[in-house]
Amino acid sequence: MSTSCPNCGASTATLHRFCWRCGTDLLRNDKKRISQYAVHPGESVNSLNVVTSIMPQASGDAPQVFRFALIAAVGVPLLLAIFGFVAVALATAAVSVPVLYLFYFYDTNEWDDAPGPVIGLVVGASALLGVVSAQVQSWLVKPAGRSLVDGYAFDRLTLVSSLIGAVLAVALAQVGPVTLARRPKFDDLIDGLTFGVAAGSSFAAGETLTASWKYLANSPLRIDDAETMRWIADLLEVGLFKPLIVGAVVGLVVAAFSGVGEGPGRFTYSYLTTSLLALVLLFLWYAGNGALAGIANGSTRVVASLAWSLVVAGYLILRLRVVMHTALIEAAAEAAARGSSLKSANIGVGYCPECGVALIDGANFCSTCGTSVRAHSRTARKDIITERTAS
Amino acid sequence: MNQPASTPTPASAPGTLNVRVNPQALIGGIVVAVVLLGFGFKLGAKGSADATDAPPAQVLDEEQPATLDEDLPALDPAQGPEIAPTPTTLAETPIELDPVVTTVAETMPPPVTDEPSGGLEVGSSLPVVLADGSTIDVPLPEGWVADENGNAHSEGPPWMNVFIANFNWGHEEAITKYLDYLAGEVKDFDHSKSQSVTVSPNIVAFSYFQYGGTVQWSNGGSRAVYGFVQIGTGTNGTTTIVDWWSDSDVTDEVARSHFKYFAAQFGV
Repeated sequence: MSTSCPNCGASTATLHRFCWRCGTDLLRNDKKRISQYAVHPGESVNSLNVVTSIMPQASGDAPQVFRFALIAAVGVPLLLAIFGFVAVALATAAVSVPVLYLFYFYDTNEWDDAPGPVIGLVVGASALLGVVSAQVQSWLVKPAGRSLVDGYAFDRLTLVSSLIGAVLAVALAQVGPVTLARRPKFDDLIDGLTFGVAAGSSFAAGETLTASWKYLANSPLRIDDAETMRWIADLLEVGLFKPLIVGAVVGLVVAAFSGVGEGPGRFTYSYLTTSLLALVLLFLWYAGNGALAGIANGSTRVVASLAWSLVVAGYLILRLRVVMHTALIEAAAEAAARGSSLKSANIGVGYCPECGVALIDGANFCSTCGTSVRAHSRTARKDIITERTAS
Repeated sequence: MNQPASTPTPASAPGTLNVRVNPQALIGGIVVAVVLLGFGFKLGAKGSADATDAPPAQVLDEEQPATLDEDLPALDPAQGPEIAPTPTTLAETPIELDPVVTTVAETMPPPVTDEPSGGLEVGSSLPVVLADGSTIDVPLPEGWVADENGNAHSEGPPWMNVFIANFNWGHEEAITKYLDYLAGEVKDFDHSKSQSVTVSPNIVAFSYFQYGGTVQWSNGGSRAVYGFVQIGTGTNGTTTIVDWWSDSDVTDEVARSHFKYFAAQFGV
């Protein structure tokens, strides 16, 4: 027994919960389906799950693995700091998220069997540009420009240095992923977003390591009386919030460049407005941290700074999810309206990595759980093709 | 739609959906990679510093004598007590530098408790006003008193003074500016090359230098003066300068113990 989707008219089975072509929730006749994230329908779009937001193609296959991997990557520097290896902890925190991304790219074959360009442009070039950014900032923002009599104050220099830092990050960190997004092989929005986040985190790592180089060089390997709590706060800032926030703003920009639909990325009006938004958000984060640094009480300052970072990171995670969810739904709806099919659509026999149920030939979504086929990793897609060939 | 004769289940079919990197291996690989990279960067930074620094970074060593510049004019110990207790122009002129409200608590950890004074008995304390208006007490060596300028000096031989202030200068800039300032205040100013020492976690850079010269008195007389300056830059960007100095004779042993005392204030 079959019926048709009220949104796109596709023929669907009565028992199907979701339209295989446009993803509409047939049970509730909800085409926006905010409560069912297209990447991972078990979650709402309004969720703060970091892994299903910044590593979308792991969502259906191995979300728990990368969740634990993220916890391990952030936890290792904290453990090192607790045992007094603060300099190593600092360097480890800086590189933890980019390293995590390398494993993610490998596991999901996000680099599509061509690791060289992806590692070189997304991780290598971005980290180098982060080094350049840190050097330029130290050159442009000299303490000599600050009044020597005021003590710490939220002054013009703080605003200028925040603006310079934000401009350099948004302008430089997107160079690598935007270059990749111009290639047909990596023109998908999910590629753009993921490569953008990875590039932003690598850029942040380059900046952090450069800014900390003197400390890394001069501090002892192990310190017995390290101020553990203070270091833990710093490490969370360096190892989690900075890569996440810089990565998210760059991811949004590159996703806007890639565009909702298919085809190589372009410099559009949406790209311009998203770049401005990214710039403002990053500036606000830097400037907010600058303002909070003036709080005299150390504990209050640390808590306030972490809380501010949490707010900014939370907003950016939500924004990433909305962008990705909307893009997956809209691109499928547009293709359905045109009568065409997406490049990522399931061909032949395939199984949903999220729920294991067979996918309909030509499906953009799993009709049982609603996961977007486009959000499947290349590893999973390769498996689908293998199965078709075998049949 | 083509269906295989026997549809394999996704979980069990070879070459299908769930062939992935072993989760434990993946997580373990990430942990090992970040730790190795962390150590690599730490050792790499140290290696590059060793290769480029001249003179190389020097770890503060108890055995290292805080030698004074032998070229300084000879001092007459007998004359010291007659003039030293009077605050000299040095104690007043640092105010022209407009030090920011001191925030010693943020940049200085508490004194090392197992050897609280670096060989000195802790006596009175120097009240320091913090940025939030509150006051903390920086412990001073036995026999030292705080003065009305926010500095401190000893009340007996060897008649020493300490000047503590915080600035928003960068580390290298603080050294340069303070050297310029001293050179303007001290005639025939001479100083040792700045050296770095190993730092504590909340001090990102720490250096010191010695200086000497002649101070002109308001009555026309002059006396030799020398001092030790310690410069510590905290993770919050604030640079703290501690200048202890004297215009009377101070033995190397006393100089070393005082230096150690103030180094302890920085957690060095």
